[in-house]
Parts: sequence; C-alpha cells; structure tokens
Amino acid sequence: MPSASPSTSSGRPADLVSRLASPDRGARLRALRELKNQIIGNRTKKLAYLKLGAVPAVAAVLADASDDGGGDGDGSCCCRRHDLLVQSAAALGSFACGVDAGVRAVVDAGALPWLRRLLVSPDEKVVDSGARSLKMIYQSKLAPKYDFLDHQNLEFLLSLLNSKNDNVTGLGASIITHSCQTSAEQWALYEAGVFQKLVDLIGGSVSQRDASLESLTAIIRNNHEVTPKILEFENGRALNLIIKFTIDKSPRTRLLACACLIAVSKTSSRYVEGIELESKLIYRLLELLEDPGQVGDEASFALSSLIEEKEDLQKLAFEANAINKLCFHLQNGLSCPKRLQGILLALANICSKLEICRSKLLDLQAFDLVSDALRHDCTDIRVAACICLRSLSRSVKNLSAGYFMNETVIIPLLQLLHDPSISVQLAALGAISNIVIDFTRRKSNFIHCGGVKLLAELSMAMDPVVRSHSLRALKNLTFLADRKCKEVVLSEITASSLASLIRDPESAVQEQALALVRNLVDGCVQSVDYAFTENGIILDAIGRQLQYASKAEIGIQGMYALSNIASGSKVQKDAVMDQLFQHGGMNTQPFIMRFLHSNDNQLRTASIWVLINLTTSYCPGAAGRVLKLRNAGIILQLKSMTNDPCLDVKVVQKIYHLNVH
Amino acid sequence: MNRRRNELDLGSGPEIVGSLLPIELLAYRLARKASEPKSTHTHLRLDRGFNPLLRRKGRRRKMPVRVVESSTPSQVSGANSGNTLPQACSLLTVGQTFSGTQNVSSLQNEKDEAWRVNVCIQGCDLDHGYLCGTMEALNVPMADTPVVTFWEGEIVDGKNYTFFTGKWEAMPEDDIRHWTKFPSFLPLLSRVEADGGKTLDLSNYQYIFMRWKEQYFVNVGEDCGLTIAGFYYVCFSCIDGSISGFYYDPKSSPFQKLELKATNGERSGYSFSTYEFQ
Repeated sequence: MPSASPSTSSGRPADLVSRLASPDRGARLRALRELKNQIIGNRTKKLAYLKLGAVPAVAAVLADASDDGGGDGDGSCCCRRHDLLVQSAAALGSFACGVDAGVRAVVDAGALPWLRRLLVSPDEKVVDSGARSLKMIYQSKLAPKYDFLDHQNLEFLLSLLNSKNDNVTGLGASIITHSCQTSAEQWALYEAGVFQKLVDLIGGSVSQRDASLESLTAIIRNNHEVTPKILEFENGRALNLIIKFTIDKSPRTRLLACACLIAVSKTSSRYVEGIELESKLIYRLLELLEDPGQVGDEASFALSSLIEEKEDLQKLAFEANAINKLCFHLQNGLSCPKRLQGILLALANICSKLEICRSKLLDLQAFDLVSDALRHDCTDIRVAACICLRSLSRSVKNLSAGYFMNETVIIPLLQLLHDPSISVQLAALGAISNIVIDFTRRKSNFIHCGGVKLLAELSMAMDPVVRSHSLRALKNLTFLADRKCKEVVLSEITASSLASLIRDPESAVQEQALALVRNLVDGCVQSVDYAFTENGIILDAIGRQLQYASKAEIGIQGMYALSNIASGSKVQKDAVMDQLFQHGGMNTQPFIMRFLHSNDNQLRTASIWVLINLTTSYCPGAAGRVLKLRNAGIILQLKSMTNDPCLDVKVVQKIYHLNVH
Repeated sequence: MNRRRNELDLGSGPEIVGSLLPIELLAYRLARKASEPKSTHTHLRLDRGFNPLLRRKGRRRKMPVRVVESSTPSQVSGANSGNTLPQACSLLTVGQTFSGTQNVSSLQNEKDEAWRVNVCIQGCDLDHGYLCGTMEALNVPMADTPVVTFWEGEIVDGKNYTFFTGKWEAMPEDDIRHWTKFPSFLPLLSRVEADGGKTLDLSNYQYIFMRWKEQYFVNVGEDCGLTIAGFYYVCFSCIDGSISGFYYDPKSSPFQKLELKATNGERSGYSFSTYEFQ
C-alpha cells in the first residue's frame, strides 16, 4: 500500500507532528500535505495542532528547505524541495488565517524571515505560496509592524507593488493597510510613489483593487497634507475611480470604496462634493448592511465613522430610515457579535445629537434590546451598549419622563464598574453620568443599588480619567437632588477626600470636584452647611485652589461654588470673604481681581455673582463687606466693566451696582 | 396648560378678540411713524438696555432686581454674517427656578382665576435654540395635587426659529398679535413684518423671545381635566430674570397671561447648579 494510506492519514495528530521532523524528505512532505489538508478551514484542528507544537515544526521544515540549495541533488530532490517550500508556507498561512493564536505561533516560531525569502525565489509557485501566507499573517492585528521609515523596507515594498503576481501586490497592499498608522509613515509612502502604484492597481484584478482601496484608506486617514495631494493627482483621477467603485457589483469593493471616501471626507471634505456624496454614502452603506457576511458586519462600523460628530449627516441617516433598518437587525436577533457591536455603535452615533433620532429609537421599542446588551458575554458589545445608552440618555425629555432610572439599567451598568478594563469602566461611567441627572426625584433608586458607594470608590482610582468621570457622575447626581441624596454622597466620599480631590494634580479632576461642591451647596439653604463640615476643610480647599488656578474652567466652577456658599447666612458670607483675602501674601492680589480681568466671559460672570451675593444689601454685615471690597480696589474694577463686551457680564454687573448703592 | 374647553367661558373666545389690533401696537406704530429716521440699512442690531416703552428711571427692589435703561437701538449695515444667537444669560440656565401666576381668564383682574405656577429650567442649548423644563400649577381647582407638565421651548434666534410659529394652529397674524403684547418686541416689529426678523441681530438684546410647548403631563394622566394643546409666547428679561408669557390655544381663552419671577428660596442671594451630558 502507498504511504498515504487511510490508516496513516487518520493516525494520531501527535504522530503526524513527529513525522514533520522525519529525516526522510518524502515523509516530511507527506506529513505536511496531510497536516495542511486537515487544518484548512477547520479552526478546531488548527487549535489542536497549535497545542501540539505543529507550527514550530512546520517552520523548521521551511527553514531547512530554504537553507538547502538543492543544487547538487537530482531532479526528484529539487522537486521535493520545491514542494516542501510550497507546502510548509501554505500550512503556516493556514494556521495564521483567522486564528490569532496561529498568527502568534507563526511569528514566535521565527517563520516570517523565511517566508519573506520565498518572495525572491525564481520559482513562481514558491513566490505565490510565500505571498499568500504572508498576506494571511498581515491581515491580523498581531502581525509585527512593518517599518516604512527604513529605506530598504520601503524599496522592498515598492518591489512587491511592482510585481506582476496578484498575490505579491496584494501582500504589499496588506502590509500598508496593517502597518501605516502615523502621519510620518503616510508621508513616507506618498513620497516614495506608493500612491501612484496603488492607483494603478485599482484598475487590476478584483483582489488587487480591493487591497489597493484598503491601503489607500490607510494612507489618507486623518492626514490633512497627504490627502489633498493624492486627490489632486491627475485631475482627480483617483477620486473618480474610487467614487466609481461605490456602485461596483462586488459588495466588498463597494464597502472599501465607501470607507476610502469616508476617510477623505473626514480629512478634506471639499473633495467629496459636500453633503451630496455623503448622503449617497449613507444609502450605499445601508444597502451593504443587508449583506449576510463580513461586508454586512463591517458596514455599520463604516456608517458610524461617517456620521460620527456630524449632526447634518446624522439627520440624513435618520431621513434615510437608518434607525428602522438598524433596529430591524437588532430585533431579529444577531448571532454575530461583531455585527451586534457595529449596529449598537451606529445607533449610538445617529442618536448622539438629535432628539428626533432618540425618540425614533425609543418608539421602535429598541430600548430593552440595548439594555439587554449590557449583560452580553462579549465585552465589546457591553461597551457598545453603554455608548448607545449614553446617546439615548442625552435627552432631557426622556430623563424628565424617568425613562432610564430603573434597576434593569442601573444594576448591569454598576456591575460594569467592577470590570478590570478601564475602557469598560469609562463606557459605563458615560452612561451613568447622564442617567443620574434624572429629574423625576428617583435618584434614590441609584443610591439603593449601591451606585454612590461605587462612584465614591472610583473617585479615588489611580487613573485620573476614571477619577474625573466618577466625579462628573456624582456632580450630575447631585444636580437638583434632595438633601438626603446629598448627605449620602458627602458621607460616602467624605469631606476630607473631596478637599483632596479639589487639590488633585489633574486639572480635570479639580474642575469636577469643584463642580460637585457647587451642586452640593445648591438647593435648600441648609445645604450650604456642607461646605463647613470638618472645620470648613472643603471651603478652605476651594480658596487655596482658586489662588493658584491657571485654567478658566477651574476658576468658573470654584467661583460658582463660592457664590452658592455666599448666598447663605451672614457667617457663611463672611467665611467666603475671608477666602477671597486670606490666601497669598500681603502683596498678593486677591484671586477674584485676577478673575475679573479674565478673558473668559463665564469666569468674569461667576466672579461678579460672588460679589453680588456678598453685598446683598438686606443681609446683615453687607456694609462692612462692601467697604472691604472697595478698599481692595475690587469695586473700582467692577465699575470699569460697565462696557464689558459680554451681555451677561454687563447685566450682572448692573445688578451688583444696584445692590451696593 | 389650561382647563379643557367645556369648562371655559364661551363668551371670551378668540374669534372676538382675534380681529382686534392690540392697543400697544397701535400706539407704537403711531409713535414710530412720527419719529422714524430714514435709513437704507438692512441689518438691525439691538443693543442691551434698549426698551423704548420703559423710559422710567431704574427702581430698586430687593430680589429680583429690576434694571431699566433707556437707550436707542443701533443699526448695523451689511449682511447677517456673524453669530446672532442670543448670548448665554446666567438667569436662564439649567437649575434656575421661577414662580408666579397664570391668569386662566384673559381678564387680568380676576385674581381668583389665577393659578400659582412654578417653573424649573432643566435643559438649555442655545446653539439649537432649545430650552426645556417643567411647569407646576399649584392651585388648579379640579386637581387634588399640583399638576406638573414637561415643556420644550423654541428660542427665536433667526437661525433655528423665527417669530413665525408655522404650526400649532398659529397663523402669522396670531404670532404678531401675541408678540406685540410684549413692549420689548415693538422695536423689532417692522423687521419681523418685512422678513420674519431674519436680519435681526438678537445676540445683544436683553430680551429673549421663545415659544414654550408643553409635551406631556409628568405626574397626572391625560384624563386630569386639563389640556396642553396650546403653547406659550414667552419673553424673558435677562436683566431681572422675569418671564412674561401668553398662552395661545384657539380653543382656550385668549391672552392668558403668565408672569414669573426668578426665585431663590430662603437664600439671601443667587445660587447656580450645573450638570453636563457625556
């Protein structure tokens, strides 16, 4: 019987792997073929053979065959060497195809240089197998980054793009798509003439065209210098070609052409005929959403990218019935996590600015599906659901109707705050920040679910972004909150911690801490007392921070906090007066004087409100406070602001003068 | 909000008053005709402090403080190219509260027909000409509890919204008839009549004109005996935080006046809270 008997081919995988190291070339080749045939398209077998160490064994076969010149052998020997190279390259490519662990194993086995050597072989079949295999590897994010700034690498890349072999040129394009990230790299590729090669390849085979479109997108993306040069090339030939492919018969080509134009519109919108082309792109992408495969999965991501932060395009998407179409997919159950993630993100972007879009989504009964996704097994989907919920809850109308403050939403969001990933925590904090604004007096639901305790803990996190976002959520929670809610917040976060957060090294944290105090001391007049707990540690921290505040945002929140405190009793007003004057040395100007001179309208306004509250004529002690302010030159400064360019400053300044006189 | 039609005084329907030109408008037009300067300028810019019908001296009140100035409007030539949106006003920001009355009867002296009203601003987006909040009516005769509604406001800014409503059963004549009830509107009248006020620069004007439309009942059902079918023409004064309004619903008594003043509870001063969406 021949060696490739059924009994052998169905033998134990470990035996097959051991035969890869056989001293007999023929046995090695048979083992390679058998292995390749078993793993192609079979993820389970790929993973099983990865565990058995098959990849290093195949890489060794490739290295051995590459080193073996084979020049002194007979014809069959040369033939076997050729087959070993082709089969080992094919097996390695197969391991890398669609399996991250496979890519990692191929890279770790040191196979990349050997595969690259195949590309310069005089044997076309060997070149082809090497290019196919490397293309599989470069389609993974785990592939090593290619250094375009190295001259030799760039030369090699150009040689790939100049090849007549489809797979080799496709590999060149894949390398660009995978590795071109920085503007320096984009510029280097442009200057080397890579762009012209890619435009030429667009007119080639389907695979060359798709690969070129994708790499053109990588060269254009976010680069304001390269994009115009490319688009002006030969009177817009490249742009016209790309536009033409948005109506190609291949869905993949249409998607890639749309993605390329999206990159152009985000970088240099004047080249895409304005809203007309962008409108067409929306319709194309919504059509592509119907594709049952990978193109359909990716179409929603492209749509998200197109409409992100663009209110006019979000409106166009709404008018193109995008919400209905996306919800249709959502409601019909999605087995592919990537598609579900993309649809949630697309819905999040459409609903990020416009109330009509939020209303539409809620009318379509999609809210439960979004909140269900908060509990999905896949992290990316939970994050996408948080982002979608954040967009939906940007609506005062819905918050006032008490739409979000219920346990089915709050509990999974709070669970996500325990996630070890900071990106997950931040996504959950984004949604929570909006939901807790709640105008329906049901903020207690959030407290009962343990939300305040968790936010207070996260306000002490190591990551400054987590700290500031947690404080922002607490600030929003205390907006128009009742006294009970504020007491819980202060007892959880504690006055001393809040004072230290006001002095946090990060300005974003300082700003949010001051704004939280501002809200805590708002509302019923007894709330002002919160600033005086623990011997006035919070008030003192505000005064000290304002003395050294360099950013207007910090000054604004601090001055409004002082203003709210100064709307209390005589003792409280006097305490604020002390803060205005006690920090700094004898010759130091009071910080309020600096703020009155600020270029920031809001800061000048906030400062005058402090003065108004301090000098309200019907409150005891007003005359003494006015005298002190006059002696410090503050009144004179206010008088000079009669013609302030800001209407609010001018109006508030008038109110002040009427109070004093 | 208002009582449902079947409970209203049928003798004071809008069709009777609707054809009359308000007395303020007549008076203003006469005065304007006598003193109107000849001008070829196309763009009118209104400065802060201008209020031609209030030429009294400023008077002091404890809180809120009223500031009244006299000045003349300035005209600026050229196209309306700059930002003409109203500027932010401290007293019209989120968290600010107002209290006052709504006269359910159009006869202003019928105090027993007045409902006490509290308003809280919950959202403000000047770029989109959007304002929203709640309105609480306290002594509604047929209700056991105060009735709270959620309303959304359109700020007249020439960009997002003009003085012409174009919906809610309000014809341009209805708009003019209501806007001219506000003395601070009268300087704008000719421009509004000419081009809907599109060339007006309201960015420095001390009054902000709005329409408030109640969207739903917050704490009672729709069968509460009240209707929110109409809407309010509103004028907000930046200088004292006062709000005047007129309820408009073709099926309700005309010119029901809303009068609100900024409130601060027991505080001896102003307090400002904040939130921000993520």
